[in-house]
Amino acid sequence: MISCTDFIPAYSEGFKFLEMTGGRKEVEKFWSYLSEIYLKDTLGELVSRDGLAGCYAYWSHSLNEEAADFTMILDEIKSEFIIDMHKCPSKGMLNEIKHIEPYPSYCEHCPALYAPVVEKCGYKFEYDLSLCHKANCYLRIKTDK
Amino acid sequence: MIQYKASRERIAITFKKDERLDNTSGTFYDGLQCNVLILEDNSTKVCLLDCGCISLDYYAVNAVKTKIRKATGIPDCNIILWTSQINPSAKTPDFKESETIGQFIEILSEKLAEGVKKAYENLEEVHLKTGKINITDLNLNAPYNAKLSSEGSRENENSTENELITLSLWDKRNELFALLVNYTISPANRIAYKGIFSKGINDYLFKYIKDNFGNLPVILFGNGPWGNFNHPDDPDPGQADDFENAERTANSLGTYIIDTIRNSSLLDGKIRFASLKSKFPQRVITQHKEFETILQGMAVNNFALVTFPGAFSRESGLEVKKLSPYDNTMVIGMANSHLGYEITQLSHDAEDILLKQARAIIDNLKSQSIKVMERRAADNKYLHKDFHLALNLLLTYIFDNFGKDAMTDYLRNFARVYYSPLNQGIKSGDKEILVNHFKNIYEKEEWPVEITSDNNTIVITQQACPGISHILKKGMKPCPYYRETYNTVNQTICMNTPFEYIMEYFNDETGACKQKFIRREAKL
Repeated sequence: MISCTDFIPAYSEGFKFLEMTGGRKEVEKFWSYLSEIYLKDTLGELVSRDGLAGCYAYWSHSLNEEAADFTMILDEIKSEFIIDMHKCPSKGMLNEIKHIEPYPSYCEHCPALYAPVVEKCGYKFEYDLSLCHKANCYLRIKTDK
Repeated sequence: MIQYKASRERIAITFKKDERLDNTSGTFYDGLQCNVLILEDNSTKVCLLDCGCISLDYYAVNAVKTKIRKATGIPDCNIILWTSQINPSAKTPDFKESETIGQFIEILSEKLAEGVKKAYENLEEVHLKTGKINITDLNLNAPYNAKLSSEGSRENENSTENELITLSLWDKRNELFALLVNYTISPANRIAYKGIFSKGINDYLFKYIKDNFGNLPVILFGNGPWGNFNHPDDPDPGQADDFENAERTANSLGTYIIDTIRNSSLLDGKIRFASLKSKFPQRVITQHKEFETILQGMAVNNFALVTFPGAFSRESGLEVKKLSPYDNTMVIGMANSHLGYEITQLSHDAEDILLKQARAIIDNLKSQSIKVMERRAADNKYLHKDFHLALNLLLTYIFDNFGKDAMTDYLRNFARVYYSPLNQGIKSGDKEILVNHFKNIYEKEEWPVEITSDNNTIVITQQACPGISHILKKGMKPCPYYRETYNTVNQTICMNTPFEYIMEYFNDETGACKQKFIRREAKL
């Protein structure tokens, strides 16, 4: 069994395996598949029902279970939802495991997975991965008026 | 974007016996209406009623709300009822003890509940927009302001309320479905010598809007905080009091309303609602009487409305808008009761009490609209079982697209790289390293397992797999050969070590299994 606590390295190695098998295209194809199959029914359902409050509900659950270090803001007055990730548990874990090399574009799976789902519900997905090597990133989802 | 549903209704509420037969008001004396708007997102339902009568007290309003709740299931606290027209046709139910008034409330409640129920059965998809405009060149309230100023009232030019706010609802064809207009028109501009001028304004106003948007939209007018009541027997000098003036006033205001609607912005957000029961002491303190009432608030995105339970000052209205973080905040007076309608009714600190309550409403709405969560890694345990789902999908994807061998290749590669320290560790033959590894995994998974060992063998028995159990719980299907997450991974861990891995049995449906790690030399 691969424990869910060992999932992150398994995921990163999975991306490497796919890239080795079919190039970057294959990795992106898998991300689309995952976004469609998994997130459409979870995040997608919450957002289509509750809008930005659905984002808050989704990430409240997952980021707490992942023991992330973050500030999350739902501001319905401004029509925006923000995650300021101070330390991403996934990327943080990959950085800490010295005997494996993380998949170089590991962090790109987040926008690849989430953006299509929220954009389909009428929202703009903005993100900043410039500090992702430090396990730090920022995402903002806004109503696309 | 959030999908809203709405329905609308115009309910005739004129009592036959109250209808005036002299017809001095011409075509405008065409009976009173309650304009109703029901709005819901998938979790919150609200019902707004703009009742075209002079005022309704808290007891009457409660009677109406109870009937509506029974007819529709919309909770009392999510129903807002206000009155917006000065008209002698509908009696003021001040005297709740009176049989006539009791009958009035009973009939009114029945009519409204029936109408709201009918509307509730016809909800349709809408989108919401809000707009705001500052009217500086249409001083409807000038005579009133001048009068107050000459009387030394605390209201002055700085407390002039110029904001006009709209909440418009649009159907799928982008046709105006319903409209809520909020603007403060002082009683001096609403009460004329025949006591029907405000209805004239409203009727002309609605006509103006319908001329632009067709006859279908239901229009609700929420008057702002009135300030002190100006008795009809004491009109201001120069006060407009005829239908020509009513039409002129309404048309001037109408152009602003149309502009506001056309420049509105789309709303997106859950319907947030707050209500607060409150009490206002009577001015005559010897009677120790308090008036019960309720304040309510609703917010969607940058739009909000807050109700005042009677005729309170515009200064308080402006203060509420200042407090509000919502760009477009309506303050609707004469809602849910008619406190302060008689100028000497409430104690002198009524406005302060009102502001305290209104602040609580705003704070409540804000706490629903804005949520902040801050967490440190140490605040939570790291256990995200949904990762089993993502891994299962990764395996399924590889299996579906590249076959079983590719899937096991991936698992072998992963195990070889990730578990290399473990593999190195057990090369020494120390079985405790393996035992601790598996104890640790199951502890983290919080999963029951039996792990026994002697010098040469480790046996791991489980009644179900935590991964498969979670996958099934979430309604998904485990990937074919999910067992390879045990078999291939553990074989790889044992590669070139003194241990051999044997899977004695594995139930693909539950993941129940028995696994053994045997020292190779002992096997020989």
